[in-house]
Amino acid sequence: MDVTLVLQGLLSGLLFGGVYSLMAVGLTLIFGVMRVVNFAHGDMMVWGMYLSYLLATRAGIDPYLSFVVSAAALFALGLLVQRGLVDRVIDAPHEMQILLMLGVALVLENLALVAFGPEPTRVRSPLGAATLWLGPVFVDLARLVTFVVAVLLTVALSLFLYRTDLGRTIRAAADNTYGALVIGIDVRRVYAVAFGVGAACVGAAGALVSSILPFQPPTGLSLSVTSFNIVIIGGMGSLLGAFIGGLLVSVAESLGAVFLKPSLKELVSFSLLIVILLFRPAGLFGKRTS
Amino acid sequence: MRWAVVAALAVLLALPAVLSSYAVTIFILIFFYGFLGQAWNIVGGYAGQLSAGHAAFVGVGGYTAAMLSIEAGLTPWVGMFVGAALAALLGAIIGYLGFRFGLRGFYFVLLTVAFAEICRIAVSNIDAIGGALGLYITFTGDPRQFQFRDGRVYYYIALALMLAATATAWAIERQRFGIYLAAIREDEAAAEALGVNALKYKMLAMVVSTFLTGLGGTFYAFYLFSLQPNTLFGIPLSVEIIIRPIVGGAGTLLGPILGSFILTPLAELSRLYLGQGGLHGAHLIAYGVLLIGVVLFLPEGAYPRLRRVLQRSRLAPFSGHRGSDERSHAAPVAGHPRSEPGDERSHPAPVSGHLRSEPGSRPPPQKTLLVVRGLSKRFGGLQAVAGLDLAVEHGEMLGLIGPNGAGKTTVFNLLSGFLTPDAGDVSFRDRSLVGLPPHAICRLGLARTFQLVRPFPRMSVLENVRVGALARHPHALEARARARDVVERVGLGAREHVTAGTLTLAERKRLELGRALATEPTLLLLDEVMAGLNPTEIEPIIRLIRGIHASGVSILLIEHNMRAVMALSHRIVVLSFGEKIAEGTPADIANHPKVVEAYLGDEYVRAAPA
Amino acid sequence: MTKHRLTRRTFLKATAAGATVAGFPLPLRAQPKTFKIGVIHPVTGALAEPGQACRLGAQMAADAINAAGGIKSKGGIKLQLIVGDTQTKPENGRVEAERVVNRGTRMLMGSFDSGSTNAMASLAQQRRVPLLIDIAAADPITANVAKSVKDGQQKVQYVYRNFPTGSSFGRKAVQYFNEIFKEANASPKRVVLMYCNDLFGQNQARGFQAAHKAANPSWEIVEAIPWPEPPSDLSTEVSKAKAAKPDVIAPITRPASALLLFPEIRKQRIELMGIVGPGSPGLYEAGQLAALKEDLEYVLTSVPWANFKNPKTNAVAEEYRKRSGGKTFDTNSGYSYDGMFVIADILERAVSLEDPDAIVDAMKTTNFSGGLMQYAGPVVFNELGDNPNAISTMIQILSQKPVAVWPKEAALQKLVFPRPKA
Repeated sequence: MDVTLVLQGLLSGLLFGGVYSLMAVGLTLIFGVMRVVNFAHGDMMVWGMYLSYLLATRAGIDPYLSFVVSAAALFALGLLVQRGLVDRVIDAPHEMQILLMLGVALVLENLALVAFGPEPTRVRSPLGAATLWLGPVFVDLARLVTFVVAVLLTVALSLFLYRTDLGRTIRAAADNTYGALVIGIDVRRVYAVAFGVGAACVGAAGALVSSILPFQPPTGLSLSVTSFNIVIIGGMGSLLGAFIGGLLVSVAESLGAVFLKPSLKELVSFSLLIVILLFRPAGLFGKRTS
Repeated sequence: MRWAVVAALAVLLALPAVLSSYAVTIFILIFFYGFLGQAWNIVGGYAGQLSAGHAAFVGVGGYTAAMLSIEAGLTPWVGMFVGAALAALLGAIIGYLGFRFGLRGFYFVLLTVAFAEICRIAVSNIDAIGGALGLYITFTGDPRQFQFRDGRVYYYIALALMLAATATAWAIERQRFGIYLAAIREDEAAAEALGVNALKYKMLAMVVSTFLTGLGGTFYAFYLFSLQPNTLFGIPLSVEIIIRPIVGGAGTLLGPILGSFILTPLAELSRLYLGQGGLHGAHLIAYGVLLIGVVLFLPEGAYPRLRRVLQRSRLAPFSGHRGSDERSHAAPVAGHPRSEPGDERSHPAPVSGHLRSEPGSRPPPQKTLLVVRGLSKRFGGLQAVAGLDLAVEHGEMLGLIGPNGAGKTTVFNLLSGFLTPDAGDVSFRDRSLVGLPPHAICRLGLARTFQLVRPFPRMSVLENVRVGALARHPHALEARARARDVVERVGLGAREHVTAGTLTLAERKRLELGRALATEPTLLLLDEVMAGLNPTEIEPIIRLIRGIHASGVSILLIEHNMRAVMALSHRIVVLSFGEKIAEGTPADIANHPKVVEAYLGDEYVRAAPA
Repeated sequence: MTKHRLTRRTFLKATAAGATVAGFPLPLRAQPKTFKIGVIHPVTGALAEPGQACRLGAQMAADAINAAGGIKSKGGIKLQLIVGDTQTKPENGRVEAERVVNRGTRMLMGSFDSGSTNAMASLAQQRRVPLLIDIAAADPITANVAKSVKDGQQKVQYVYRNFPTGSSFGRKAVQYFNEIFKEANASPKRVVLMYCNDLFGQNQARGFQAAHKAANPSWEIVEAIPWPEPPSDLSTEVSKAKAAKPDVIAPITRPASALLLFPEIRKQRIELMGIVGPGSPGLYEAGQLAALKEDLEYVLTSVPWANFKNPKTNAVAEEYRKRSGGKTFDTNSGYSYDGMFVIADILERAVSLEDPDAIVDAMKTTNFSGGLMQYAGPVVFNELGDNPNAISTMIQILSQKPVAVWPKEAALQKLVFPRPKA
């Protein structure tokens, strides 16, 4: 086996892990707080991507700036979805929540189809094809930046959850809904904010990866599936889990492409998922519940 | 109502004579998705195990039949059963992994999705079975090859498939199997405690469901003449399979069919009228909005709502769908005709000793019933139970007390199989219970209640108790009759048709007791059956427990209410920090210095008998 | 009989109600003097983009035919398209075909993805409605029907295809590779095949590999690298290609994977004589060119391409650009456009429009040279029902524009190979 190839595969996988981590952060936040499985996750992210695409092509705004706009828009969407829909079925059986989010996903995907058409597209990265060569292997600068952003976002969210009053309130509501009610927390409001913040992360992530991942309206499904993979492996509700899980899945797929026929590489991540589900269902960094 | 079913069938059989071929096609899709939905319903609805990878079973069934037909010339009429068997095998493997490792809810969803995706990727990469290009079946019109020039034949086959799946679901629903599945869906741990082998019944449900789904694969393949991994194993097909039964009402007999009759034509119509203009995708937006609307306005699904409307308008309820009828009663319908079969077969009240009888072996009464030696359990850094020795004699009523966190409930969990001890032995009627699952322990005659009551909230009181009765009376009707006796006995006779979720706490405690009692135990473990009750509610419960004891059931009870413990128990064991600190008659215990120290409470002092 | 009327009436009421709600008046009775053709493509779902192009191409052709007086030999009867959407699901290939046939269409055209198309084909055989496949490359679709007719299981073949098949694509691509290398006086030895592992990509790759094996040229396919479609990352795949030390990378991409693959090839600085693909649809689209810019420069790919030497093609392409909001008249729109003209030609020659077998007789004797695509000869149908003259053209992106460069008779510019060093 070609050593350079293995090294390059490892490096590319690790850096691309930043993209995966960003994808998973919003999902893990929403699940961690509300135990709601957001099947519209990928489609929300696609909207974040399209918003940054619009701003890039129409107003020339770089995705590294416009992610703020995507985040704000998705925050509003998240708030709306939570208040208008999820809130009403929070106690409904599992399958109804799934159906609801599938409906939301279908609406979002096809609104994107109506609004932007079916062609795949991608935002041109301001970094272009810039690379940094370390001997025979190279570092893709756009991915390096995304990786750093993923670290920053994870840290910022952790600070928000652990160091601010609102964050602590959200965590309290997540840990113990009943207890939070008892001590006078308006759980509905907290949920709405949490869903909003989670959705804002999804939007920001969408914008930040829009120059790396190509997208079109049906892309949402595969984004959702990959994100679920990562979040389960890392641990539902854990920010660190989403980050490490992203790196792990990405490296696994990249090395899968090195050692197997690359069209089989997703087998590696799905197998990893199954192993984790069976032997450590709370994920690598999730809280174990009895 | 039987006539309505017959009439509906007659209409469906006659329809092709008058329908256009396009309408026939739509009906074929309605039946086919109704069939797949019903097959899914058995495991996803009745058992509540949400498989979101059912497309994989369609794929395995279809590919098997197609490959056997193309490569070996085997007629799909045989191949479809081979395919279904393989699908069931895959279902058994996935089910075993998921259930054995205790994956519930969303985790099971993801496990099934992951397996389906693995199948899809694998098939896409195996050239010998067509790879991503798929398989193409040649149209010959030969009935021996499952092909027909007349589209109406497909209509009848699809209808037959749907009816077969529905008949299967119906048969399951009215038997112990179906009742157990419903109990598992409502609360698996509580079901286990009542003698339900949850793993076994979930596996059975999975196998039946995936076998049927596999049959569907052959129909799909030989109706559409092509198989591609992305369509046959893909997530979109899995979603198509699950949305109809959910919309119609998961876990109900007619829900999947109703869901298919609603969604399939709507998808067609919306594509027809919204898909023609320039706005590609508008029809799918409409479809999405519809799904959201269903969740918001019909949160139980369409069928339960429809049934209530029908009942309100005083139309006779669907006979033969009784099991599901009762399950979702939000409240007892006024004047609900008590015409259930088994009603007239009135049973005499159980004679003393009946409850403790177990078919076959009645133990010699002299021997110690339960012997616990050196029982230990550690949770991380906490030694919850440390070297506990305990014995319950036949006919004894033993109290287990101790301050909060003393490890009492852990002891119950260890005895009843919900936890496995780190060390020590539990011997019940000379048989070691260590390592046995809860349902097996229940069937040996050791039943328990839960401190935080766990009724099956969407079942009626009677149905709740019936789950317990089924442990000794496998026939649903007989179990029902037994359950009715027990319901009377615990004083809930007037409330037997009320949904358990709407009971008061006191009633729930009685229900909890009744359910455990219905399993006809030799030894009953009662975990704080009086907690949270007011004094006027406690008195009758004490009388009830005395009555149960008098009928020959030995009792081990955890109780915080000292007055009750002192009054009821022959002997008392005191736990503190997982260790036994005292044992003796109520009088001994009341004056034991260690006990006083452990409790440090005036409450205890006040409660102690003078 | 009463029952019959009741059902029919209820059904009509339901559909009429639906139509009113949606704001589309539905003609309940067929207009006289029209010949209805069912045109079915995936206009939503994963393949919405090419499906929409097909629908528009077919519609434009029908408009042109009608504007020119309809089917003249049949008293100027006009073509009426009844469109259908498969949503990229095979079952809808059948359902939609059934629906449009029920509305009186006497010919079918469609449907882009091979799964739906095969479902349509089985229905065409079952209901005896002639089907012209405008696009769908899987060989078995026509071959299976031809075989069952030959074996006597079927009397008549109702399924014909005016599009290259997977295997003919492959043969043509290998032939073009050889000719291009010879023309350029270059002798690359090592070719790495990279392809999306979906129906389209695998079909193309298999055809290419089989043709390569049969032709045994001086260049070798040293590695074949398939990726899952749609991919989220292709950098390791490209590193793998690089490790195989290729002279030429031969990619088969979908538009989405192209957006990942080409920048990655440039980033990893692979020493290449060039990128020559056996078939990547969509590279020539304005959107792709804008998103990929220099990454696409000098890329050669073999695709079914319009004959832009024909002035009529340019006029139609211009109209298409206007009606589609700026898109290129390409494989999809082009073959659907031509498909409709082939149908018109068949209808002109058919003895009767009422009898499907008469239409089939006319189909079999088709010899039509009015197509706008680049063909090797007139549109004819061989014993399988395929058009052997449906070929691809090698195009190259030069100065950010797609240009036909091979075969020679189709070339508008001279090809550039090996590509200049950056």
